[in-house]
Amino acid sequence: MFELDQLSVSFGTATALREATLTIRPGDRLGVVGESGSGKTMLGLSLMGMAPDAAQVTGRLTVDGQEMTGAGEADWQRLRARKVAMIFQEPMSALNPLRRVGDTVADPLRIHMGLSAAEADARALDLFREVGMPDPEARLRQFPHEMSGGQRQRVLIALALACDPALLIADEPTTALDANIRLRITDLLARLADQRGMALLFISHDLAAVARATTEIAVMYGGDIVERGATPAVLKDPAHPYTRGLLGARPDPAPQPRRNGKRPRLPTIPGTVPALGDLAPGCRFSGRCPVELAHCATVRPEMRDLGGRFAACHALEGGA
Amino acid sequence: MKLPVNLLIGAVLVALVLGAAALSLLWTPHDFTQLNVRNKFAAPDATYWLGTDQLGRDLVSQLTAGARNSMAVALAAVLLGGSIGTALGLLAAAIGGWVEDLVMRIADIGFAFPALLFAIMLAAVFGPSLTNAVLAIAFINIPVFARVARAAANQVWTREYVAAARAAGLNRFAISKDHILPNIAAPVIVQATIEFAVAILAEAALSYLGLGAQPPSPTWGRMLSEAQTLMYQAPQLAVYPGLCIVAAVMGFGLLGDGLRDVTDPRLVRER
Ligand SMILES: Nc1ncnc2c1ncn2[C@@H]1O[C@H](COP(=O)(O)OP(=O)(O)O)[C@@H](O)[C@H]1O
Ligand code: SF4
Ligand SMILES: [Mg+2]
Repeated sequence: MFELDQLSVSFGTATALREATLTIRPGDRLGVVGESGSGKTMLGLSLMGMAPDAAQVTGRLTVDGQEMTGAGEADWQRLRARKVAMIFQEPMSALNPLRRVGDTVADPLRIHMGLSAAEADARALDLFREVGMPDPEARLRQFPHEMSGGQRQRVLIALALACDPALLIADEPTTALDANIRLRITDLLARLADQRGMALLFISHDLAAVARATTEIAVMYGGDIVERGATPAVLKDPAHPYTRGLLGARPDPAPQPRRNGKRPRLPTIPGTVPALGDLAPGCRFSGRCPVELAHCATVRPEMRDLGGRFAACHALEGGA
Repeated sequence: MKLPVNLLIGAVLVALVLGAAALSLLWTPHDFTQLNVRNKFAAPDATYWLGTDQLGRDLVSQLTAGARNSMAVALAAVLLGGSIGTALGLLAAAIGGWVEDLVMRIADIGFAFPALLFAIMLAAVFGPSLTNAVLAIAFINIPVFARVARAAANQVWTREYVAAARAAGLNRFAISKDHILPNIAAPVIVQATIEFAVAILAEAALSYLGLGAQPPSPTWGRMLSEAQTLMYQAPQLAVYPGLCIVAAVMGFGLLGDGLRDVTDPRLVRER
């Protein structure tokens, strides 16, 4: 169980993650959505103890009751791979170009599980089968450049699963992939989480993927978690103006086609995300919000219970 | 891909020098220690291709044996200094903080310390020998490789696959060994080639001063110093070893430059 209590990550005056309070229980499947720069990756990295060296981290984080606030690299090393693992966004650059992918997957098995080289290789083969790698024996001996994007992502999933983590963080696992493979990787992650009873933190731009893979959702904007709740409820009936913008700007729930060679981005909301340092001290969304109230920019809205779902917005506070 | 000219010329010169050195292990035209005072200062002929020296020894045999000596000293020195330096650079980059600062400050001091002075100190304490020449040259290589390895390693540390390795629970030493080292091999090998040229020159200088290999084992540097007193009588005795030194130093220098050009596209674009 991962418990964040008012966890903040800042770079000087720029707050990349602001007082995030969140509990991830065994088997939870939580989607994290929000525009670029809203702090999704920072949330994932914080759960790995891998916030950048330049960042100041405040607040509390406990993992299965163990206090990890301010824990050193050695303490985190014991948790990584076994308690929490992460899949990075870009499957090409997340694999060492000069190392056979089988060796990369075998590394944590030797180090954390104490397996011999032969045992680790055998286990890596099992993992390749589990993640649906075509021709797994041959793939173990290949280098990343010999594989397709989808295959590389499967390697990274196998690597993350190696030591049977309690929580798998997938940071935009499909963004860098071709459209035809996205659905399969999304379903694979959901199925693996289900079969293994593993919690999943699924960070994505792709609302359709989040809808398929998760049961709960957290919407982030400007470093804040602005809305939380069951995935179907939030997607069907968003409470927060930002979430509404996010969903409303989406023309069609079907996967979007590539635009002039670019991968589909999250639907656009009028205005742009301000630079971190320029964000209002109150609600981060003020300035872009269509229903903004006078005190929004200065007073931070509290997270309100809307009957099993939560949102932080002054407009939801009856009459306030 | 078009190979740069410096790479080609360097490779040819290096192949010649290495070939001569390797051949001398198996065969030289004559025994290079064989004195023959009745045949001193012989002109080149079918038997003595480049003639003989002031003691009647065959020059070709001495030069090829000298090549072997030079290569052996340079190889041992660069391997020794390069391994220690690279390990220190990797360690500095892996640990960071004050450890990194300390290692790099020590490297700066080592960098500023003249190799020749160090060799003379070693010779003064332990006596002149081939081993001490190797140690002195290895010593100057440590800070050079520490710098190169650290700079390259710090770049690799920012790569996403290193983050992925950290996320997989590898500690910094495992990451350094399995992920950083293979990815800094290119700049380290380029540097090794260049330092090989520097080492050949340093070995020649030390031998010239009598601080390197001791007689009877022939070296280019000592041939040069012995020929110096005979400059008017037999200038060729100085010219041949001099040319050998130039060819070897230039060969490795150009090869190193050429390798850098093909392995580091960023530098090519800046040209
Ligand atoms: N090393 C850093 N120094 C300063 N700011 C950073 C650093 N890393 C990330 N940030 C900032 O933190 C914010 C959140 O980034 P991120 O978590 O990557 O967003 P997301 O994953 O939602 O796109 C961004 O505005 C980014 O500019
Ligand atoms: S708090 Fe104000 S600015 Fe923020 S989302 Fe609600 S209404 Fe809009
Ligand atoms: Mg991100």
